[in-house]
Amino acid sequence: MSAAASRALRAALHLPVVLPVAALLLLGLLFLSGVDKAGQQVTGIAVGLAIGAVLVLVPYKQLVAKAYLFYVANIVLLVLVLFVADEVKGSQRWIKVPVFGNMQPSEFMKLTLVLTLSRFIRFKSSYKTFKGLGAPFLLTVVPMALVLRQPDLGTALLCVPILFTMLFVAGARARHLLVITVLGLASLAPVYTLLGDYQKARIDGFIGHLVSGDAPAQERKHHRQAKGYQLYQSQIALGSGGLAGVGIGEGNAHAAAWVPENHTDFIFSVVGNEAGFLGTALVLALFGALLLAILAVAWRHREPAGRLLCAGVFALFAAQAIVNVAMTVGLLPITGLTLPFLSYGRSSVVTSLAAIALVCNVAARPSYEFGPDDFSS
Amino acid sequence: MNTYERRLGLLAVLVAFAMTAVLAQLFKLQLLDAGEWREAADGLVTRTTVVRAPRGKILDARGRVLSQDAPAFDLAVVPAELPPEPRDYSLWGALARLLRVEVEELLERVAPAVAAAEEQAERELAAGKSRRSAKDVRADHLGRPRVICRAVCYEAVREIELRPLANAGFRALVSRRRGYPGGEDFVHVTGRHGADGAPSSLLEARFDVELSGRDGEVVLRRTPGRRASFTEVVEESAATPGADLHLTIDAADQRMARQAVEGVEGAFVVIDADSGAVLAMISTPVYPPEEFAQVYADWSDRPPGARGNPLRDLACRDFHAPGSVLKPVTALAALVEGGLDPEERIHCDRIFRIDGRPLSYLRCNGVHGDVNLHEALARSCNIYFQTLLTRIEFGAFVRAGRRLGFGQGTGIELEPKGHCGNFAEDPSDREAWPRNLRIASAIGQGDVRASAAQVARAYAAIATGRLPALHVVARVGDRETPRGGEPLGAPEPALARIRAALLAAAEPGGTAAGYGLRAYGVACKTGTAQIGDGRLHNAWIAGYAPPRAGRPRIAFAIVVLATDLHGADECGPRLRSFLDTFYAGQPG
Repeated sequence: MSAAASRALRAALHLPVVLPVAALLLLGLLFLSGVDKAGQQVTGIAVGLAIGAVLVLVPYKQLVAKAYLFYVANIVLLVLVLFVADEVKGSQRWIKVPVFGNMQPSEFMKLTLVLTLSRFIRFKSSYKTFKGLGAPFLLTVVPMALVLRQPDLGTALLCVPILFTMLFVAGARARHLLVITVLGLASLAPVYTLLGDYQKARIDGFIGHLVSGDAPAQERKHHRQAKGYQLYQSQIALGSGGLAGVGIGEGNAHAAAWVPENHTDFIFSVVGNEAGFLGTALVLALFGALLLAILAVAWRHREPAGRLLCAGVFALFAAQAIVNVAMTVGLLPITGLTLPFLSYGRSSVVTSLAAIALVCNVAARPSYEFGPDDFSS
Repeated sequence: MNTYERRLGLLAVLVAFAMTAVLAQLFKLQLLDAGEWREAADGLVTRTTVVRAPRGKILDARGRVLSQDAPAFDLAVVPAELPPEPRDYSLWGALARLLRVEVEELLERVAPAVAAAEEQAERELAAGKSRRSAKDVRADHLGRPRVICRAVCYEAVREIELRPLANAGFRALVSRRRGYPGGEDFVHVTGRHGADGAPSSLLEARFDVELSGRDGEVVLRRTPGRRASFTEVVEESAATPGADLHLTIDAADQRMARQAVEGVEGAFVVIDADSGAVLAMISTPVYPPEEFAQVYADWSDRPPGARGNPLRDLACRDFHAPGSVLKPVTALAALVEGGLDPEERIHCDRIFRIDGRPLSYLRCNGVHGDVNLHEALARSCNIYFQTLLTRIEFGAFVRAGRRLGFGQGTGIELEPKGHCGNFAEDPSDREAWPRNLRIASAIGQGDVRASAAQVARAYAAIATGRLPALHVVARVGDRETPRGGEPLGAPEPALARIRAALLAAAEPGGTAAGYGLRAYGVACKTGTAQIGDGRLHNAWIAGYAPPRAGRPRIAFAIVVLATDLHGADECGPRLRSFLDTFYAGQPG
């Protein structure tokens, strides 16, 4: 790396964003070591940092300019997944890539969508009309549908808050978004009938969990065990962690070992089991700090595409972290989402670090560029 | 603040709100409800393994094993190891022959086991709870041995071991089974220990708690590490073996008793007249204990009283018309409460009359002329005892019967509670009986029913003046079982009169003369009870014999059901053959 590039890289390190991310990555490795996945996660972090370094050095506007190219490439990958990926636990999500291992195009799709919507919204103003919302929605629905085909409901649903947040920040009419939200909620019942058995079971389990809240302990236990196995195991792990947890790395000897997917979607249960309430509160605080830092970058920046990028990344992390934690503690149905930076998953960590790189990229650029519309009106 | 900034602010508030909700839920889970969840977590990280206690043995009076746990082999199939379809089922022929089934039947047992394994694997995969791959789940379920046939013979095991290719997929598993070395002789005493959900019976059921002992437990905790496993012992409690049951019955005596009633449907009970210990108690026909399932299948859908049913225990759980062996009860009642002069003579011309009207069905078996109590008992005169019953209150007869233990449990551990035969226990029923039926009770007919054990006990009471509590269990482990019994409460002169008459029954002129019983000092009474079939009777002999050749004073009862011989002819020779072997070779 040249000295200039090194200097540029150091200049681009926006500490309010980077520090919480570094802390979350370290915590992730710590808790993954308890379930023997830390070594493989390091590979993903290394690749993510390398890609992040590249993304920081290339001005984000150039990246935004090539957004449609990324979008098409990602769509091709998503189509390819349906034909070449092996079925694992009923889903086709991963493509084998030499050296890197399994690659999950749907993870990259989240960031591609942020870039694509940034570009589209940046140079249009039609989204301020109800009719004009069609194009951004179409851009979102196409990858969503492909991800749903895998099927991966959690990742597909993540596209919705990204789209809404970016449109909201860009200045779309709130009432238009509200109407679409109401229509979307109304369509939930018919959508339920289209879901797979395991997805229905998760929702049933969640509803069972909610309705059994005031039942006697034995009945509650029975209901939870019968309908929401993952959720019940997750709550045992979290609850038995208490204030300070059973000890870092000790989860394998405790309830965390019985949580299915404890290294991916349910890593937060391991945190709660091993580090207790203090650990879970720390993780939430770090996510809070990260999200605030991203919002601060968006707040300070004046260039519309940069703002949109930050808003999209903010929505991505906020939705993913809150939904993951909320499903782990029983506030939302289980949807199969990883917890950024902590969950095992090389594609996930690469995407997350790339997203952070984009935010740093925006933060490192001059914030006084005026475009045709800086959303300030 | 412009719209853009307001909207960013609103997003920040929304996220803060969501974070607060999550934090509140975590506070509840991890701090408020932590105790409840820790309890649930303990259930996950510890595993309890039960250490089965060895079941106690049942031993005879000399310590010979009658019932004990023994190693056995179960035949199992491992679905994953079966040869792929199409299979050459003719290879299973040798194994099927050794199992005494057709190859098709063997296949019928294998197929459900394979189907069950596949179904369990599919169910686990469908439930989505497994963290294993589909391949591992299937390999696990299909790789587990599933028992298809219990307690197979050693030859079948050898066939599997010696020809692994022909019998691929089959495995012999070592297990534990209850064995019955006591065999057929004790099938109505020891009963059977239920397995695989089948109920236990008789002594195995009655003393199940004592025989079972107490299972131990090992609590294991999951150990941390890459390949975590349950190896750390947290708590361990040793199993307490079940107590052995020591019986009062000597297997050799039991065999003699069985030989005495072999070939007929009947029972033979021999007891220690003083202690009430059962020395032999057999009910025939018998069956091999191992064949219970087949016998039960053959007989379960027939009426309970069906003739020849080997499942019936005729010795102490079935009740029969006692006939003349009940006459001492009438005698005791008349002597104690009826003011009978034992020397008073009553005329017997074979016809019994009431109010001058002859009752043909209550006639005597012979013309005895004028007989007193001694002669009437020795020669078994029906007219004498029927006449006595017309002179005394019926309640006196019932009380005398009760005094001798009829209509009550004998104390034998095998008797079901509240099932004591029929001895006019309800006074209102008693008064409602037709007079003729009441009179027939005097000679053990009518509705009176008694078990062989009750009859033997009554004669022990006559012999000793004390009604003993019968028992077949001498000790449970090191604990002696409680002995019971109570004084008869009858005047000794009355008992002496009866004893003298019973002794005379085995002497010339008595009903049991001619079988050599006199040589053993036997005092007895024969009985021939009508059972509704004009040609067939229940034949009885009951009595007692003095101590001899190291043996205690014994009381006995033999009953043979549905025979065309009279009591003396049917049972006399059987008793004699038993006594010959019972006293033979014993120290004097």
